[in-house]
Amino acid sequence: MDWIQAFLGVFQPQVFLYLVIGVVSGALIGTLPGLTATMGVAVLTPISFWLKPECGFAMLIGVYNSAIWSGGISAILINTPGTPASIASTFDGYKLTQKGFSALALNINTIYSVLGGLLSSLCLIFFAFPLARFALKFGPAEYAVLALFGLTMMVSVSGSSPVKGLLVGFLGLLFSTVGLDSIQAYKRYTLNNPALLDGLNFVPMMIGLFGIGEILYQIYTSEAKETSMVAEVKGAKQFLTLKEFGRLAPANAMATIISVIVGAIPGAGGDIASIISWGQAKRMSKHPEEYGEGSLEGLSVSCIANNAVIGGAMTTMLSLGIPGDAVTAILIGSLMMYGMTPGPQLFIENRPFVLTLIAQLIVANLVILIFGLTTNRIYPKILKIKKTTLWVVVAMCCIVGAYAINNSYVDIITMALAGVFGFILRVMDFPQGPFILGMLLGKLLESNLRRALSLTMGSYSIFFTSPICIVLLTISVLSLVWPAIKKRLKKRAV
Amino acid sequence: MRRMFVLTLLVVLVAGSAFAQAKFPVRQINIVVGASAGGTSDTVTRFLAKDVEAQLGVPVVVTDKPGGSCSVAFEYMASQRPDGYHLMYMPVESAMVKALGFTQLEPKSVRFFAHAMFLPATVTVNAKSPWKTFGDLIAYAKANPGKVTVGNSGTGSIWHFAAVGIEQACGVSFNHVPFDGGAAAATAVMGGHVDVATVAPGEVLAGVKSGDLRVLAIVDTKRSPLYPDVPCFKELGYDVKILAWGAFAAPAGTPDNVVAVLEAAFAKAIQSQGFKDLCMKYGLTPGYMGAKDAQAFAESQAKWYQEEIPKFNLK
Amino acid sequence: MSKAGLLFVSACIAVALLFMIPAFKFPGGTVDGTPGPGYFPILVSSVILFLSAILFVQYLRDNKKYFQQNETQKKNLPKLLITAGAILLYTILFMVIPFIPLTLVFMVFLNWLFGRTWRFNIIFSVIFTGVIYYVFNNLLHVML
Repeated sequence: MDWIQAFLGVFQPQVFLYLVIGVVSGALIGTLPGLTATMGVAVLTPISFWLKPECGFAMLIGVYNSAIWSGGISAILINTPGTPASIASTFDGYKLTQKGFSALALNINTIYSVLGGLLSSLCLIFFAFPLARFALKFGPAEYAVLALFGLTMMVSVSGSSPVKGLLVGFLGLLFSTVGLDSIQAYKRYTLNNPALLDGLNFVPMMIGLFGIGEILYQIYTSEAKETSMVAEVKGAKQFLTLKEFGRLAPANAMATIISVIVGAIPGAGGDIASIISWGQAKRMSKHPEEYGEGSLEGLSVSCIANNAVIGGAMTTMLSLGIPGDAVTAILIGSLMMYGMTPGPQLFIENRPFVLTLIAQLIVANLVILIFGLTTNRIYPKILKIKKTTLWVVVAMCCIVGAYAINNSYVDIITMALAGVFGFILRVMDFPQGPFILGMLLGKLLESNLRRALSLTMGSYSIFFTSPICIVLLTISVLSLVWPAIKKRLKKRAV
Repeated sequence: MRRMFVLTLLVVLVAGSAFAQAKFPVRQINIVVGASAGGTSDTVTRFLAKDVEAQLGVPVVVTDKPGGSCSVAFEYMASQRPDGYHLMYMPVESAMVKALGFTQLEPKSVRFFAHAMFLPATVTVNAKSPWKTFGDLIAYAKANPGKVTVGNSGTGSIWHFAAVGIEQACGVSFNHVPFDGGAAAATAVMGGHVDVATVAPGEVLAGVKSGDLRVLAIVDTKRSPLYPDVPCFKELGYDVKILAWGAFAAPAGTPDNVVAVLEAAFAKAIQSQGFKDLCMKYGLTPGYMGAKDAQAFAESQAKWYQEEIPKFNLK
Repeated sequence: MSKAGLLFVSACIAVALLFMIPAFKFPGGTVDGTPGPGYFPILVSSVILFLSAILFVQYLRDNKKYFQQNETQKKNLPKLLITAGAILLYTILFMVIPFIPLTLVFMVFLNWLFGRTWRFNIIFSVIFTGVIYYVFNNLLHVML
């Protein structure tokens, strides 16, 4: 009964209007590289204070979901992730665009993003408390092993040459050590610049590596005759068939589970979830060779993963009052502004409001589905714009976007240098993905490894006594040796 | 073409600055916060900015420039033109960053015009732990030196010093474990990965309400409105004055008439009922101080940290 | 032998050493066995040195040309270098020159470099700079 009321509440004209406003502005924010979901929510939060809680939250939830979804649009069309969470969508999405299947890729992005959002909302409804309790079990040792597991994905995202991929990945790890070390607060490689004390920011690096790198590569390789990018192939299919949908289902189910869990774990967000899901799906796939070359499965997995994180992150936020990612950290602030303290108490004292939030999450996804499918026809027109115009626009968005994250001058210079580096990687046939993975996981791995050791006074036994650690370590080792075993088995079969 | 442009620009700039001296404020005021969106510093500043905006009739925009315990924002603000349009939220860290070696700036290098609030540390443990009172914890810590793990919000952060201050006052030794922020430390206590967290009252509120966490003491001279049943350090007989605080400052050389306008506007905002309610929700202690007192307080804090930090032997 | 490849690997080795050598001077771990701040950089850079060595040998045998593979790329090289230089210069000047004049000049320059007509160039640059400034400065409150 209260569920019906919650849903009816969302369809009150005022609430619904703010939800739609949120979705539309989120779409804009997410598509522009550099404007992340975190930033969108942060910018709109002060506005939401003027509104009633249900209106304010409708807007914020709309922005949050929509920005994560639309980050995939720029990933697919111009090879630049609009938000960090859509990083894995560039691997296959952009390849599909180059082959002339941009409409199909965009529709996959929309449908699977929404599916991820909906499935994770279901997890939030049914498993909120057990899931949150499970997330609490992650202490320093478990985080360190999780990061280690993430690192094994470097091989998966390396493409044809694992040595090249690993080299780039470890360079990423190395760059993540710039700044104060998180345990002893010792200044490492900061060149006495306070802006470097917190290290190199990962988002500008990513924008530069992919966005500027791609522009420079296009400038370098484009023929004078081709004035625009590869257009949509005439009569190309726009949607997946039901059969294909079924074929992709197992990989997507796996990705959803991984992402909801990663989302629920505080401090690990959509970026890590989507790369891990993509890498894991590739390992388990029957056609791993298609991954990174425009695999429909790969794209669908990366799209479902980043939106499935939302439900997980909301779970920890609502049931424990702990932020699951950067966006939920801001949402907790807003809840407290309205005088509500997230936590189990919230489910009892403010049950109608919790239900409203979940209902908004679901409705926001449905709005995205409709909005996405109707507007998806417009986006590919971007590809018809003259290349030169596109280059200028994208370069500008990358620069200002990189600055917008922290208002930091160092960030935009980092972004530009990363752009040149990204170009060199492209030309030299090095994959860019592992670098990002290294940057992402470096701090998580190092700080938690050292934190765990400081808890045990230097004993490594903690990594082999915790059940979560043992399971994750086993999976890591298995997944590294699995390809070799598979080869053996195949040979024997022949 | 370009010459014309530069000329116009010059005219606009000169005219603008001449006008600004006559009347303040005439355009948008920027406040930088040296922390990320959603944190206490950011929330407090945004809240006050809204009030000041209504009073002064110009937009007051809050921008986050996180990094290096606020030293990035500090350096940025100190290098801006002293015209009153570039302000900064000054957390306790602004009195610590010089001693920590992050920057050469200290409270003396800028002009404080208002002090807003204080924020004490809590001593929080897992609700399942055997320690029911602060005395239990200290007794255990005395019997087992170095065994009690204490999570803080980062090495060299204010909550790290709070823990060190407790160590010194109570004559015990802890195993300090730095986390990325106070919320992460509180989470680790909830998950049973560390024994104690010395973090802000607001950061453990959700855990206390859910029955996962227990606050044993407030490191302050008075009790916290969020936890009226929990004794404060003064009652327990300890004297630890490590508190977080928040104030506002403008670059050095900001004219007196401009500072007076800002001081009056912030005084009103900080003493408003709305701000008191906000403080209540976050477990802050409102504590307005005018320009002179705020400056003196910040400088005395800086002096104290510059003497104490080297003694703490962090590195 | 691939010159570009060897150059790239050498650069990687240089970077690894640049991180590794100062790391030996970092303070050590604590008495209780927690590794110090130098532990992780040294570990990672050693792996990079090892991987670089493997690649170095591979590139010695490999004859692939990576840069200037064909006429188009040769012709585009100056344009590429100028664009990359312009972006770097822009980001460095971003700190000292106000946003609007700097961006206008940057846009006009890029459009000119890409051979657009003057009419398009001016109109586009002015409008786009205005839009970016409005969206970021006024809507998103980014201080430009």
